Amino acid sequence: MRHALDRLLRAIRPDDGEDILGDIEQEYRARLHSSRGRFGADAWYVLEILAAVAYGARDGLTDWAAAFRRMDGGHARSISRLFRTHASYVVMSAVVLASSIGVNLLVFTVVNALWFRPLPYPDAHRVVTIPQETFVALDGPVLPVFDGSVTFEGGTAGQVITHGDFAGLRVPIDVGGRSLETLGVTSSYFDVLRLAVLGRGLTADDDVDGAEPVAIISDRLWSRAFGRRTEVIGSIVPAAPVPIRIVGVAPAGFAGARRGEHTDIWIPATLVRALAPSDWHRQRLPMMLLARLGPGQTASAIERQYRELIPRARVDTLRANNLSWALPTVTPLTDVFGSPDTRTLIVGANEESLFLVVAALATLVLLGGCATIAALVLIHYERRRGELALKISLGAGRRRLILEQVRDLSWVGAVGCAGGILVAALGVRMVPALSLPGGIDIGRLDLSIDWRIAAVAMAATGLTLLLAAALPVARSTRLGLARELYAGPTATLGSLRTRQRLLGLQVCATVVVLIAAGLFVRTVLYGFGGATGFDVDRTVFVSVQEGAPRPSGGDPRTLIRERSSRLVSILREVPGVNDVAEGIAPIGPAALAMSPESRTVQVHDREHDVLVGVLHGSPTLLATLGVPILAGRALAAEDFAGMPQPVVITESLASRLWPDGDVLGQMLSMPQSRPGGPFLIVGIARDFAFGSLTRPVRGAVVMAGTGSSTTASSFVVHTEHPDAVSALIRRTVEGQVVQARTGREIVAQDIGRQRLGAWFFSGFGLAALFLGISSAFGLVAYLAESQRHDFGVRVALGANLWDLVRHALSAGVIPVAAGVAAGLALGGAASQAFRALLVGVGTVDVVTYLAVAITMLGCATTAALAAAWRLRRTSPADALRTR
Amino acid sequence: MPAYLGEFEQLILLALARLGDEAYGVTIRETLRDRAGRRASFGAIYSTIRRLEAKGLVRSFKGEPEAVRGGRAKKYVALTARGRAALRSSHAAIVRMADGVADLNG
Repeated sequence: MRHALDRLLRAIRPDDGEDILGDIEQEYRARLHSSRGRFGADAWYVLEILAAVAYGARDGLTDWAAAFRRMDGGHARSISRLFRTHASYVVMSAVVLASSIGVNLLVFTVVNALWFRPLPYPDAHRVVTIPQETFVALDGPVLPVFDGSVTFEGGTAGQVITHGDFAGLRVPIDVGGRSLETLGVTSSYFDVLRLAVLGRGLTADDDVDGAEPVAIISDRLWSRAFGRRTEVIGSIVPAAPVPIRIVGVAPAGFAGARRGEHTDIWIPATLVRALAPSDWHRQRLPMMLLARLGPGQTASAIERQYRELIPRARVDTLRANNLSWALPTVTPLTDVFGSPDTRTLIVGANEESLFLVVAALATLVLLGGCATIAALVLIHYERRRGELALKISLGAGRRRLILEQVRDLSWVGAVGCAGGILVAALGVRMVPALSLPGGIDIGRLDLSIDWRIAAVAMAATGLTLLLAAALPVARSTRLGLARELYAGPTATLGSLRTRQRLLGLQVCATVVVLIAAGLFVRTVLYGFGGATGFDVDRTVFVSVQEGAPRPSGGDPRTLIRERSSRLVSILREVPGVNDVAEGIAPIGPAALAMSPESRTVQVHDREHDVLVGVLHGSPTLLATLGVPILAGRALAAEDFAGMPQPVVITESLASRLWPDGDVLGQMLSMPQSRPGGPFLIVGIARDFAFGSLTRPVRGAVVMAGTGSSTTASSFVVHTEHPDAVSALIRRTVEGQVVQARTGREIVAQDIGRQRLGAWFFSGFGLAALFLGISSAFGLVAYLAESQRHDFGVRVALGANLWDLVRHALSAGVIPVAAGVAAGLALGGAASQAFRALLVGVGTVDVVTYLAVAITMLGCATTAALAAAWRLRRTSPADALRTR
Repeated sequence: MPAYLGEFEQLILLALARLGDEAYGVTIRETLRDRAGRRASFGAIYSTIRRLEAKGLVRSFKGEPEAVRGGRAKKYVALTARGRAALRSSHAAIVRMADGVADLNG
């Protein structure tokens, strides 16, 4: 360090730098014995040199070109020579480093943003949330919190979700013509988070009906829209739909309690209710509770307390109906992700396992990169053996040679590191495109590259180079190198074996990554292929939410039917719509709720526990979905009133309940369901997925009914142009909360995690494949180069081109084949870690394994052939002369 | 015509006049600290000496290499006749300007 600083000062102040250094040295030695000790003296030394450099630069004492030459000390010449004479080595090494480091940096940036980046309030791990959906189990209001049965330090705070699918309510506040992300909160919100607000916080008086509309704004908005003017605090600003008085500014950097929130305005929860467009919305405001754990309290203990408050019978019923998720859960906010457009997602369990797999595979890519770099460095120094042997013969010390090579490697590392950061920076811009509907919106995470992550990436670069170059550098600086060169090519053969092992290792890592990628891609293909059993490419699922019919308006069932008929008529008028049927989407949360883990189906007094879903819809529902009737008939309009009620069942359910095949005209009932039957089977339909693709389905019962409830209606639309039609539907059905999603969107949401895995692993797989191919190519090219003499002799003795190519291929393809075999075995074992995420494909999928093996061997053979092709021009005379 | 001097240049010249043959970086810095209460870095001192040397107000010469300085020689600095004249002139100007200023005497 001191040496470098001295050199800097001499370069910047060539005339008096040495004199200054003399004075500084004299003073430094005196300071070593002072009370501040060595650390104080060192710090003073650094500051003094930097000050002298700064004065020199300020006073124009420096000829910068000359200073650079002096600082460089001949480095520029050697770097220029390195880049000029070994361009392919430098470029290949830098690209390998950049791709392997960049991929890792990108992955760990996402992982860091999702789990490790600190939340912007004190002791975030002590703040917990009780998600809204868990209140379902508590029968009514959230009694345990509000009746004092469970208490928290500083009370609790509420956060009203003002966007999202729950209520379909959007209450953005427009300031200066821009729609801003707004959140309704109770008055204790900032206190629970222990955040000090500039101005004043919200009070209980702000959170009552009729109170003046007030808001706390983010520091970002204060800075961007109001230039940090303090007079804004306390003033009324024009906003839509109502002017608001800004009473405070949140601390800098705070944009919401959950990861993923980008809130700019916090308004009292009561104001959200006042701004809601209808009573229906007002009654269904989704609320999330926040609480800070007191001393001795833990999230799991509070959760147990809650569950003990629920009657035992209700817990049993929920569990029996696969509704355990509706039991109260208490989760630290550090483990959740949420945005106004998504419900609160817990990222501490399932996503963590996925990202752990991703991180492990990223490490494998790094390992593959390490092996490739080792091979490249080995080639580089094998090619320079003659030059190095000459230097050693002329008396160059080993230390000096090693330092020279470390310097060269440092430049390669610096270029690779810069490339890695560039790859990661580009990747960070592209990753938000992986956003999954209903899942984690990666674009809402803070994906700025953390300096700690960048430091780890630099360290990884250094370590990769160190590990990769240690052996080649040690081999190429042996003092006996000259003698070995003279004695014969033993070192070269030894190097070849080392390179073959490295290639095998690299291919093994590549195959593991490719298997993971292949399995996830196969899962996604399965989802978008025929796995759903219905026509995903020609369907749009529409959900329309409306206020409940007024009690005085007549029979609710009649009103619902009238409303549905009206909506069907409207939908049929939309251009491009072929057919419309009432009914929910077979895949998605609504269908999932209709398909518990097991349901008792009774046939001739015999009970069967099977996973069976129940689908209510208009008689044309199956035809609209594109599900054919295999036997019997489809449902008809008169089946609404049939007794026993006619139903159509799927073929797998039919074969399970009546293995002998005599199904039509049989009766079944489902005692635990409403209605429970008995049902008359009038038709058998082809199997289709029900609930979720991620759960194996044993069958479905389809019956005539309405896909509507008192507050919502669901329809299936058949069209040749689902994207255009879904957009048209959203525009056509105005004044109501409409959700129109295509069949592909439904499937994409259902297998969101698998799609994320497919994206990640395919990216890794491509990077690893690139590294593998370049390794195979490099190995055979090196073989061709290093054994040119032998080839020359063989050609002189009558060997033909095919003999040479076969010889070169065996050197390259055998280690690849060994690597492929090891990789397949390891990949099979590694895929057990993400078995639960695979749908429709096993961990030992022959197609995937074969495809990976053929791809790897094919690419390696092609690369080896391309390199071996160069041998055809080997001239015996030239080869012998080079020797 | 005597050269115009900046405040820090005057302090350096005064330090040189006070130190005589013992004026080099370390002693100049100590004198500035002890007598003027100024904590100057060596970079600032040498930049000023370089400027004064260019104006012909000081001259420098090398001493013997010393172990305590890492084997480097001291760079001694001394006033030239022109430097003394400039210092005298500058000091006289300050005295004249200060004369009769009540705030300075009170």
